[in-house]
Order: sequence, then C-alpha cells, then structure tokens
Amino acid sequence: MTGGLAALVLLVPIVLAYRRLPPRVRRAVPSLVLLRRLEPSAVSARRARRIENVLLLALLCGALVALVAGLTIARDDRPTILVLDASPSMSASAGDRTRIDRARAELVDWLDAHPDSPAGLLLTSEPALAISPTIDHGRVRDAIRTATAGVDHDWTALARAACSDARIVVASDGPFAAPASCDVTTVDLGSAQDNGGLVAAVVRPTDALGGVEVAVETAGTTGPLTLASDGVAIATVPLERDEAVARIQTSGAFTLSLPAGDALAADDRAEVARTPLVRAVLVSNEPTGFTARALGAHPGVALQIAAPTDSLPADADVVFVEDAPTASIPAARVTVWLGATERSGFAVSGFVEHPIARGAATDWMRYVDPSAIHIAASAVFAPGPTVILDSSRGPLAVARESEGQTTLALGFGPRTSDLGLDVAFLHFIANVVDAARPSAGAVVGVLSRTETLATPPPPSLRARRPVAWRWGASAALACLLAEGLLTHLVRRRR
Amino acid sequence: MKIDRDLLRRLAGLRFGARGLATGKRAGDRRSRAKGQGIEFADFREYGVGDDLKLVDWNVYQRLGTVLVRLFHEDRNLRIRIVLDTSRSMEAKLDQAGTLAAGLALVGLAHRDSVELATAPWRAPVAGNDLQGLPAVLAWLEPIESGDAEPVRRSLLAQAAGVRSDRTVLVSDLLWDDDTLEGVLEALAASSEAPVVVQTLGDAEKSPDLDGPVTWIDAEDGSELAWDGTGDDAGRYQALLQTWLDEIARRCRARRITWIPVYTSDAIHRVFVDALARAGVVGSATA
Repeated sequence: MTGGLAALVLLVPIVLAYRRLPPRVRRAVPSLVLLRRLEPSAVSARRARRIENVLLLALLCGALVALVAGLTIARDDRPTILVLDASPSMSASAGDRTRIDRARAELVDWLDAHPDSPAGLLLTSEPALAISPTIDHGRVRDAIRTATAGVDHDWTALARAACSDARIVVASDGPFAAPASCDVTTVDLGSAQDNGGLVAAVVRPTDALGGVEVAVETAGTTGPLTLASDGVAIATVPLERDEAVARIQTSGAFTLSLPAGDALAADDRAEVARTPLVRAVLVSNEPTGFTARALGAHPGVALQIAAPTDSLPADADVVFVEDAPTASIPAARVTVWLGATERSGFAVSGFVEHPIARGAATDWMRYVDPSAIHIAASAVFAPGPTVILDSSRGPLAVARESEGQTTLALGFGPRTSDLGLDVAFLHFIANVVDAARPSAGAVVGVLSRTETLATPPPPSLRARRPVAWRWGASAALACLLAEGLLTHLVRRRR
Repeated sequence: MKIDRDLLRRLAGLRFGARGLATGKRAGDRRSRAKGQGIEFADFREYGVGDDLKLVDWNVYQRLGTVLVRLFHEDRNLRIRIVLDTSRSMEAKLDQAGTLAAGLALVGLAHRDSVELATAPWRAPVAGNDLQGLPAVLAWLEPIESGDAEPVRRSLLAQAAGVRSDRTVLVSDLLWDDDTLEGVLEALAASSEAPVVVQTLGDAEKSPDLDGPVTWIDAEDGSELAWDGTGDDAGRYQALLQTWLDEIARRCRARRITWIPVYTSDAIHRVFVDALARAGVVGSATA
C-alpha cells in the first residue's frame, strides 16, 4: 500500500518534469548539408543536456522519495524489541571484538538512532531479562551494556511471539525462523569464522573403583582430545570421524579439551564435575556387618553408620536401612531397605522361604546375578511398584521414584541370605552409589551442535539510521537545493 | 514563382560582358571566330566562284595580278544558357532566383543574344533570340514551382554533353553534398566558355534559428536531424558558413567559374549593377 502510494507520488514529478521540458518541434529547413556539419559536436551537447535533464528529474524524484520514505518510516510507531542472544557462541571472536561486543555496540547504536521509538529488550543471559517497550532507553541501554555471553536459552519462541506487535531487531548468531509477517532485522556480527568444538560428551563409570568411560562427539576439528585432571594431562585421544572414546581412572573432576585458537573458546573445553564421595548413611545394629563392610570398601563413599536409636544426619545422598530407625529417615536421593520392610512404604503380600530369584532388566541390578543368591526367607511385595528382583512367588525387590527420590526395598537382607557373601552384593552397592551420586557424569562446557556451528546471519541493519523524518527532510532539502542550483546554472548557460 | 517585372525594365541598359568569342548562329554585335561579312578585316583568300565581287581587293589584283577576296570577322550573337535550380531547397529563394534568371534573359535578349532557360530535362527549355521572346520566357518561368533536386545536376550534365554555350549561368543555392556539388561544378565548367554561378542564399542559410530542441527536416529528401542546441551555436554556424562559402569559391576558381553569392535580402537591381557587373558578367550597354 505504502509502496503503491509512493509510486503514485513519484509520477507527479516525472509528469511535471516532462511538462517542463520544451517540446521538440519539427522544423523544415532547405537542407541539412550545413546543419549536419554542426552535428558532431552537438552529439556531446545533446548527451550533456539529456544527462542534465535526467539528473534534474532524478533529483526531484529523490527529494520526493526521501520525503515519502521519511514520513512513511516516521509513521511506523510500532515498538521495537531488541533481542540480544547471550548464548556461549556469542563470545566467539568477530574481528577485533567478540560477537556479543559487536551486538552490544550495534544495539546501542540503534537506540541512539531511534531516540523517540519505544524499544524493549529480550536478553537471554542468566537470569534472562525482558524489558517491555519503553521510551526510557536508559534501562535497555544499561541491560545491553552489562550482558555477557554464557547461557544458552531458547529465545526464538519469545521473539516469534513478540513480533506480532513489534518489530524485532535480532542480535544473534543463531538461526531465527520468523514467520513471514514478522518485521525482523539483524545486526552485523561479523562473518563466520572457522570453529570447532565439543558438541556432545557422555561420561559413565565403568567400575566401582573410579574407572570412567568418556565418549565425545566433536564438530569442525581434527583434535586431538586431551583429558586432564588438576591440570595434568591424563590421556590424549585422537578423533576419528568426529568421535573419541577414552577410558581413564580418576575419582575426581577432570577436563576435556580440544586445541584452542579457533573462533569460539567456550566449546573447546569441558569440565566433568564429579563428586568425590557419596554421603551414605547405614542404619543398622551391626556396624561391622556385611553391608557396613561393603559400603566401607567402596572408594567413592563417605559412610556414616547409625544405630536405629541414633539421630540421623539431616542430609545424605543414600540411606541404607537394615534396622528400622526410631527417628525419621532423612530425605536422600536413594533409600534402600534391606530386609526391614515394615516402614519401607511398600505393601507386603507375604513371606516365602527359599525363593529362586531372577533379575529384572534395571540398572539397579547391573552386573548382579540373582540366581547365584541363596535366599533363606524373603518378604514378597504386592504388585504395583517397579520390580527389580522377581521370583516365581512374587517380587522380592521393588523400587519407586517420587519427586526425584528413589526408594528401594529388598524382601531379604544379608542376614536372611548369602547376599553379603556374593560379589553381586558389591555390584548392587556400587549401582546404588552411582545412582545416588549427585550430577554423576555431568559435563559442563559442552555446547550443542547448533551453538558450535552457529554462523552470524547477514546483517540487514547495516547503517545507523537517524530519525526517519529528519533524514528524509534533510535528503529532500538537499535534493531540492541541488536541483534548483543546477537548473539555474543550466538556464544561465543556455 | 513571382517575377518582378518592374525590375526588368531597369535592366535594359545592361548587356552581357564581352569575354571570349561569340559562337551564336545569328548576327549580333559580338566578335566571333567566323569569317565573312563584317567590319573588321580578318584575312585574304583566293577568289572562288560565287564570291561577291565587292569583296575582291582590286589593289592587290593590280599589283600582283592575283584575284583575292577580303575576309572580315563576322559579328554574331552570344549563346547564353541559364539554368535555374528549382529544387525544394530553393523554395524560399525561388522568386529571387526566377527574377535573376528573367533579368539575365532580358539582358541577353535585349542584345539579340540567343538565350535558353532550362530547369529540368523533362521540361523543354525556352529559348529566344530577341526581346520578342521575353514574354515567352516570362510565361515559361512564372508557373515553375520548386521540385526535386536531382534534375538540376542531370540537366547540367546533359547540356554539358551537348553544344557548349558562350555563357552558362547557374542560379542555385548549391546546397548539395560534396560529391554532388563537385559533379555540378564539373558539368558547369564543361558546358560553357564562361560559366557563372549565382549562389542564392536565404535567411535559412544566413542565420538559421538554432534554438532547440527541434527536429529539422530536410526539404530535399525528408531526412531528419534531432537538435538540442548548445550555448554558442550561432557563432559556430557563422564560422562554418564562411568556411563552406570559401570552399565553394575556391572550387569555382579552380574551374574558372565566376562565383557570385547573392542573399535574398539583397536588392536584385543592386545585384546586377554591383555584384554581376563587378564580376564582369554584365556590363553597361553604352560602354
């Protein structure tokens, strides 16, 4: 609509200019013999006059275009939402600055260029910040200036939602699939640079003695992958098809690193934060029993043994109960009832003697061979909970998870079976300790493939724009002055 | 074309200049190569049967005993051919050119010269030998309108191939391209002992309106030329016109053609008594 109106308005100066041009009359002359001899130099003169006419017309058109454009843009009073992506990839270098530095500068420039335009901000830092459109640009400017890259929030849904009522100025190196109706401009974040990094890492213990298997996926790099603990390299693993698998022995945190020097350092290094010891509480009347010894032998466990009548610590990662305590059981990530099922919360349907246990496919019973366990007597649980150890007479061990806490109940214990004598018991204890380990295998610093490979979109907000109507009026005035001066000179010369 | 008949009366006292010998068939007052009856002695020859006895030189016969007859230069009239350019470019100048042609015819006829007027080859020329023929000349001239350009050259070429005349006067604006002009001047030079070009130029050639933008249309061939004009066109045109006229004068001189430029603003009587007389084309009949 606006474009059509502008085109219509443009017709006016064109028609006026043509009307201003003197009509080319046809005049008969006796002969062109002499006049043709004037022609060679007249060609350049005619061309010069044509150029002059075109220039005058262009100046007039330019003046009107500037006025129309200025007024059109000035009438667009929709607010603008500035989106500043603070994901880790924004710390990639872009020339002499980082992408987020460029983004901050571009957005501040935009605010300077649009002092009268309501502007809001969607900042995906930690914590994420959203400022409603306001003409008080101070808040927005301050928030932009203090933004730092580091957190990968998905801002695209919010931006899509906002673009129905506002224009969006996006400062992000990530993809933003906006609907066609959205008025989206992007700022200049520099060109894409070579970058490689970690895009996936999986860490899992391979045994109860600190063995760790690390599987890494990379992108855009040839490696090698270096694993280090306390700054000392443990292993260097070559990458093969962007993958590497390493097995190391460490009980503490360690780091994964790739050769640095590319655009983004944030995805070249990852830290595997492993809790050294799991806080375990054993409630038992036998501080030297099999369970106490098995837990004590686990290198990753800080064991605390309490009698049923003792007060129990308030926080623990895992609680083993051989004898029901009189006090309440502390909230732990995992609670294991060994033989004492009365207060476990699981319904017991009966008791059986010499059941033959068979395993169920759960991580709790990893490396455990239940058929080798001789059970003298065991409680049988009512159906309902997850069965982790079954028998022909009913479930002998069950599990239930609620609000991040898991409760296991075994219908038998070391006292009513030879479980304590079997290596399966150590594996069971190790499985429980692994499950209770806080953030077990968590890897910090690995970015998603999108983040690692993110390239800035081409900027559509290329230049600083002063206030639209001022810009248009200035350009129109300049065009009109130039047209008037040129017209005067041309007429005077003719 | 409109002939100024009043002007013609004022030209009766002029006659064509005496350059070269007359080749006319009729008796006149111009010296010719022919020998016969006349006033000025030319030569002797032996008497032959049929010779007039009055021509026998009896003194020679008494001294030498030989019968000789005296021969005299015969006075003949001039053979004058006037070619009028009636091309379309002459439209604005045709009245003046026609009056010039009629005046020249009058000057010739008044002295019993043989005068022939021609325009196009398909139009029979008009001829006369004395003033009795003037009405026919005028009647022949007045219906003429401007026409095509090409016949002028063809007419000149055709006449150049025929009997040479004593005077050939071409009345034209000479607005042709170089090749055509060269051909016309060659033909003119070959057609006469004393060729003359009276070049008529009008205001359209002298000071044309050079203001643009304009599309000029050539009256001759209809070709067009778009013109926007520049700042100093008038000055450049005058320099160009002078150069062109100088070039025509040089070419005429090289062919012994008498070149007389005439502008439509010039009074025709003054053209005769000044320009044509100064060039020796005409002179006073009493001189």
